[in-house]
Amino acid sequence: MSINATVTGNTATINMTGRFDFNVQRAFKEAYDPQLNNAAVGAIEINLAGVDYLDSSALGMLLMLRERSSAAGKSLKLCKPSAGVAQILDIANFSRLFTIE
Amino acid sequence: MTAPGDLTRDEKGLALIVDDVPVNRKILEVLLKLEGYQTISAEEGAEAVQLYCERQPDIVFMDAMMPGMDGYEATTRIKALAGTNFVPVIFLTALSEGDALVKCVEAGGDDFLSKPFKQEILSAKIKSMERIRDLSRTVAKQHQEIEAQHNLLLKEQVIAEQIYSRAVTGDNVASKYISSLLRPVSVFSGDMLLTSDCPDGKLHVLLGDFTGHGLTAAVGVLPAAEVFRAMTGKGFSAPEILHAINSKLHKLLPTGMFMTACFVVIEKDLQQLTVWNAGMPEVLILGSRDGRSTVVKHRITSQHLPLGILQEIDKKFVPEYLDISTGDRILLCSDGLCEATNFSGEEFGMDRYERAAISSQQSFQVVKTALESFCGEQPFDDDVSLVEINCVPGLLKTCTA
Repeated sequence: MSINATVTGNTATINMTGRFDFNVQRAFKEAYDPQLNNAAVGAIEINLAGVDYLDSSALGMLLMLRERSSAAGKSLKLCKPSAGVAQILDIANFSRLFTIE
Repeated sequence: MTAPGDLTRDEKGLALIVDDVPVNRKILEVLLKLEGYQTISAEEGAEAVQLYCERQPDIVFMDAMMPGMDGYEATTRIKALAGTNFVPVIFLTALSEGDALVKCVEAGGDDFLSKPFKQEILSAKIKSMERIRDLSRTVAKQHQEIEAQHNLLLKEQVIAEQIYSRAVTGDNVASKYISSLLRPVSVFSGDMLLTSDCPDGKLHVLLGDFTGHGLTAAVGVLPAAEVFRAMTGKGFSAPEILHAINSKLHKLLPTGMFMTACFVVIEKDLQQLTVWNAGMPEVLILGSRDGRSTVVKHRITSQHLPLGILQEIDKKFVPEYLDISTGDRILLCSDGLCEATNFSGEEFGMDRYERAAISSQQSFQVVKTALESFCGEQPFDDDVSLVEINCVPGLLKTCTA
């Protein structure tokens, strides 16, 4: 798993690749924390294009980020999930909680 | 240099000297006594191994070439006997060829001491070995402590889990028409199966899977089970129970922890099922065609958010109502089953699961066997559960079918 964040305009994009699971908890938090604290960032996008697997802890981390970003008044979007990841998000019905593009 | 008679340093330990030349043994004996060691001696390898077993020396000085068993063989044996205990073996050598030195190391030798022996070199080598030995002893001691702690923790967990699972599943319906496999990754399971007869004769079944696995996943199990049992026993309906479990979990669990669940209500006439699937893999309703081959009559995909995420379940939380026939079977599993991998990292998957399920009327057994042969010795990454409910009159306490 590799995680990096880039900021373009007022949008912060967190790019993730590999397995999104329990082991990346800290790295994921370290990637989004500065974006939440950055007043210039109004929107956070999680780019899932490179993620091939996502477990229930990852769903939990997304819920945590959802709560934090909403408290910080920033929008949150999940982008480009692969077919496998889209299916996992679909089974959990996360489209009710997240904008998924 | 310490005086030869200084007995206070005798406590440094016991050195075993192995050399076929008496004068070499004698010189080393004297030098080692100066270093504070007691000494014992052997003339060749076999005798050295014997002495090692009898006296358990702290350090060994080993000649390479000797009549009888040579130093390489003796070192290999002594190292094997020592196991994880660090007993330094220092080869006594006049050897200048690299090959022989390599052989010493391969046999397990830790260092070399070249002849003729010099007191200051011997002294330095001993110090260096003592440093390694002390380090190795510290590591071994710490390892033992960690292992003891770990075993204690595991023992406590096993006992706690027994109490826990009695509280959670002890009151489940004992029926030969419900087959279940729950295989946790660690002692505690984050998957749970709850079954209970309703006062009006229906059967309530809940298969839940908490985020993650192990103790952290299992903390939500007990409160969820309590709500399920208390409310089913008092005649509450499934939606009421699901709402209550959702609120309870939302209140108790931190953000990011939730429970995916399937709730199945079997009517007492065995003609209708009501199923909520909140984040679990497809539920399969299996029946037979022509009384022989097994087919999937219905599949219930997840329509709802897992429980514990929202404060209140939304209005869309409606179940699927299905007509069934006596003899139909309900097959439930957790995602740990579909995501179980084999040695090359390939997933068991829904396709393999379904193929196994319809290949026989003994779906539970066939899926279980297929999973076991697919995964082999590969450990599971997530709790795995599989449940089959056979919808026959004997399943219900008071069946009207």
